[in-house]
Amino acid sequence: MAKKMSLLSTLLLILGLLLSACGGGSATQAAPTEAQPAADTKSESPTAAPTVAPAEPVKFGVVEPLTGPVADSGSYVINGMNIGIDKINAEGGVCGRPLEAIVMDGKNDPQESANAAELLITRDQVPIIMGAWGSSSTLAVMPVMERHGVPLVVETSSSGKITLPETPGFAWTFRISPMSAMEAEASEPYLVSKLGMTKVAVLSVNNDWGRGAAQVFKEAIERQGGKVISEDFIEQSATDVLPQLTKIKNSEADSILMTTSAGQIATILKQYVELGMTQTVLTTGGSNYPIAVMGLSSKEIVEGTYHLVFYVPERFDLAGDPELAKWYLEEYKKRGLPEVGLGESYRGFDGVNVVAEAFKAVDCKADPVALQQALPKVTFKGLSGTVAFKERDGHQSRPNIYLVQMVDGKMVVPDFQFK
Amino acid sequence: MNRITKIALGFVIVAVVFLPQLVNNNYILRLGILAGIFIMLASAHNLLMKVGQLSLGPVAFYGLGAYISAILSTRYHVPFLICFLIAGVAAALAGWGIGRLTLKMRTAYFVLVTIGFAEFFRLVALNWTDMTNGPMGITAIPAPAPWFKGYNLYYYFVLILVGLVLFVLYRLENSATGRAMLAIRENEVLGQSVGIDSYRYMMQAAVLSSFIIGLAGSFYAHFFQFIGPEILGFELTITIVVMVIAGGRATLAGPVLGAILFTIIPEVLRAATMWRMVIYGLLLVFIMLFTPDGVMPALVKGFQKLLELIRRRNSRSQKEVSADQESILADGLSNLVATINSSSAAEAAKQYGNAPVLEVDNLSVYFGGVHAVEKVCFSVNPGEILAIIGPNGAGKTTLLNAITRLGPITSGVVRYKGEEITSLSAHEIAKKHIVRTFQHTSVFRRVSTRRNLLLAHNGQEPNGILVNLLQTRELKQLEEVGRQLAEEILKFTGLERYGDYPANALPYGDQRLLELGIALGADPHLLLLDEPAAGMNPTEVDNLMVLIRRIRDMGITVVLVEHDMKLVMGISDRIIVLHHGKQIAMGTPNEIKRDEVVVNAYLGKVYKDVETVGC
Repeated sequence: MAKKMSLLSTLLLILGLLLSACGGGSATQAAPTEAQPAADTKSESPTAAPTVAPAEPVKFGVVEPLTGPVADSGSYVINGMNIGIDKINAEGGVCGRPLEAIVMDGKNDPQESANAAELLITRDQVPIIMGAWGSSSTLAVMPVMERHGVPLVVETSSSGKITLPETPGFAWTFRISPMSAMEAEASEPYLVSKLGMTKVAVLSVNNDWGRGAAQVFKEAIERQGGKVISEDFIEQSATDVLPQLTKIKNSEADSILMTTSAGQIATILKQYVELGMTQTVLTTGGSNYPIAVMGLSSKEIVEGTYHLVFYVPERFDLAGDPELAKWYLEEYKKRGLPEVGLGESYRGFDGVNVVAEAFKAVDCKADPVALQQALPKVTFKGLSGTVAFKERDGHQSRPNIYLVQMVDGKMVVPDFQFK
Repeated sequence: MNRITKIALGFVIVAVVFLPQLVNNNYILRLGILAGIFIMLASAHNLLMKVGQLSLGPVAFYGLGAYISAILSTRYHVPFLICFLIAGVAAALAGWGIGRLTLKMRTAYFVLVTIGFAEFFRLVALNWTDMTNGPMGITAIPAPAPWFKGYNLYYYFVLILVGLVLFVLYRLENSATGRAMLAIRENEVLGQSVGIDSYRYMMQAAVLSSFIIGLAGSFYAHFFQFIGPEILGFELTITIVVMVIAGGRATLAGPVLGAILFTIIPEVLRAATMWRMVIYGLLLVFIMLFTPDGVMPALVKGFQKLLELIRRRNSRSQKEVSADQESILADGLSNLVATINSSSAAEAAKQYGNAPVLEVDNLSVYFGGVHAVEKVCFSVNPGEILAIIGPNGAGKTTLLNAITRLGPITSGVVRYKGEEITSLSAHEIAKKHIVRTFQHTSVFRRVSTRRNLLLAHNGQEPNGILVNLLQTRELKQLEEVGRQLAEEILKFTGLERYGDYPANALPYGDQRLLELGIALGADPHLLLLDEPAAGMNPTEVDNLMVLIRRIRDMGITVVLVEHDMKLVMGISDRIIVLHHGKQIAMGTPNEIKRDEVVVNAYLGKVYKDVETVGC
């Protein structure tokens, strides 16, 4: 009898959990804007239009990792996106209707992400999706987009393959994040001449992103007369890089090129300092936000290191729209969002604005084909330069890519990169 | 299968076949396709678990199938069907190779080695960038055919595939192969002693399971059109194992249900956003807590209980075995006069003549410095009862183990009917109709008594995978012989009333009786009994004596290792005495009783320079 009772109570508990979870889920879905503590900026905002009539919302889908090892990065993107949505809606929405995101967890797993995209398209009938963070996930989502003929705005992935015409789904894919090759191109003029990276040791994470970056930077360095003398690829989960670092220390390398996540960069830098190494450090890849690296290590450890970033929060003048950049930074701080997430949050903000611009161009019709036609012509002056799909047959934008150096716990933008 | 199950199954099949028309929703179809892939994975994986091996490396074959198919079709433009088959065959080959290396290992070692192989494949996929494109993965994998548009075709393709796989597995489960696998899982050593070649069946399971998984991998690649090293991750292995165990590994339907459930649950939980995996984990914990045998068996049990409730209203004539029931042996066997007609022993004895059946020539077994059996020589005449006695540690069981090849032989020769059998393996010995029992009760514990006896006959049935798949007439005939034999043994041993109860529910004495029955089920011509009377009371021993005599009268030669002097002296024709591994006496019961050396050995007197009885 006791067992039956316990069974019953557990069942009730599960049911309760499920119901509350569903409730929570649908709340964020139905009104992501209200979930934010600073939602009242709507009425305070000076640019606020006359109260928006409760028109039918304009929906779009989002696939980001909300669970799993990179859930934090996914949530940063979502934070930026929410700021964007709130701003757009406060200014009257798109075509007088509120913009609404339906967010799905993709776990940064290819299969999960593809399932999520499928669900968004079939159940929620979204005419456009933003996602899916990692390159593998994006590459897995692309065939789904092609099958259904729905456009995808890619906000984070860096693999060059994504905007290659032979990749399935290319026609429907529009990327605002830079390819690894763009980072290499942007930094090529000063890598060897200014940073003195003549004998480079590559230390990257062993995935599409790390390998891809290593390849294009190697070419860039060699074009400039430098040399890559060693390449080491480490597991995403590796915490001990002393063997690789010792090898680099004892080699003739004068610099280290790192492409991995902020967490791993912090780990590597700690051990780099421990070994008393002096090589120049340059990190790339877009998930290397130096403030986050510093947060995971210390001011002393990151001192003097170089990083390629797509968004420098304090330097409004470098953004596509300085006014907007200033407003964004204030708003981000006002919401009490984590500072380590600032470097990735801009992707969500720029991404959602591109989606909004595309909707405006088609009078907010939920027509995927019209959106596909409209996207190549969309421009948006955002946080990371101006989004415009001018490359790769109108599927790839070229955002800002700047070199920053950590000096005394602050990001400094060296002048030599501006000719 | 009763009527209700049939009707339910019919409904399910109709619903599954017309799913695309019923829902007309791509998302659900996609989940259907994924569930189909997972059904193949889980069912194939369960095949390996059916032989008692927990592999944590199914993704190795999945990845292999997917990569081979992807590489062949993107680089060399090989048509899908060929890629598909090559992927299956390559995975099967890999399964065979890995099986050769690992299937000699058991339990934790096997688990660890399979994890190692999965990781090995993942690292190859990750680092052999020239071929696999490394972490970048392979994109633009073509659809099976240019006209493969939309999900309906994929759905029906995977549906047919799943149907075929389940049909094959169903056929196998209900054949000699399936019974052998059950026997191996329940009690591998006992299985070998009745002639089941466990290694061969494990190999069959490994090859077939990796073949199916390889096909699933290939299909996945062409459906998904993108693969990366992620599909070789450990997470997927866990998912597959969860599907099998939570679904219910005992039945065919268990993994199917598990695969469907665990494809759907994470999707249903999407609404929970960040809490998704937490709830998923909790659900899993509860499923395992409340349905430890899996969801499917729990459902079936619940359904049966419901039926019983309805039925009980009409009649209440359920017979049950009470736990305190007397053992059949203690009840007395005088009223049991059944004989076993299906045994081939009498016929074989008639043909053979009078030369010794078993000759043991200078047999020695050493464990390092311990000489457990030292140069033992004896022969067994057809139709006799030969007892081997000796104090504990004398090497009696080691001797039996050596003869039946369940244990090692250091030197010496054993001949059966003039043929050397020293180099055979345990199951081959059993196929020669030499069968043994064990000192410690050894039955297929969770299997019904009747099925225990059916399993015992397995060694005499064909073990080819095709024969079992096609269910040839030869197989059916042999099965029928086994069934008849089982019924006769049930009557012979008086275990008939326990026919449908699991072996571990039987009283102790009856379990020992069942053990004897299992040995008889393997159709022995030479029966080696290892302390059959251990733990029995005097009445039970008396009855056992009657039984052993009857067995001998059926034409079966009996070798007996025993401590119970009443039994030994009462039924043996000749007795061999072992002491410290050496044979110190041989003779009729009366001779042995008077032998001074034997008496000294048993009473523990110090004796010097014992003359061993020479060859």
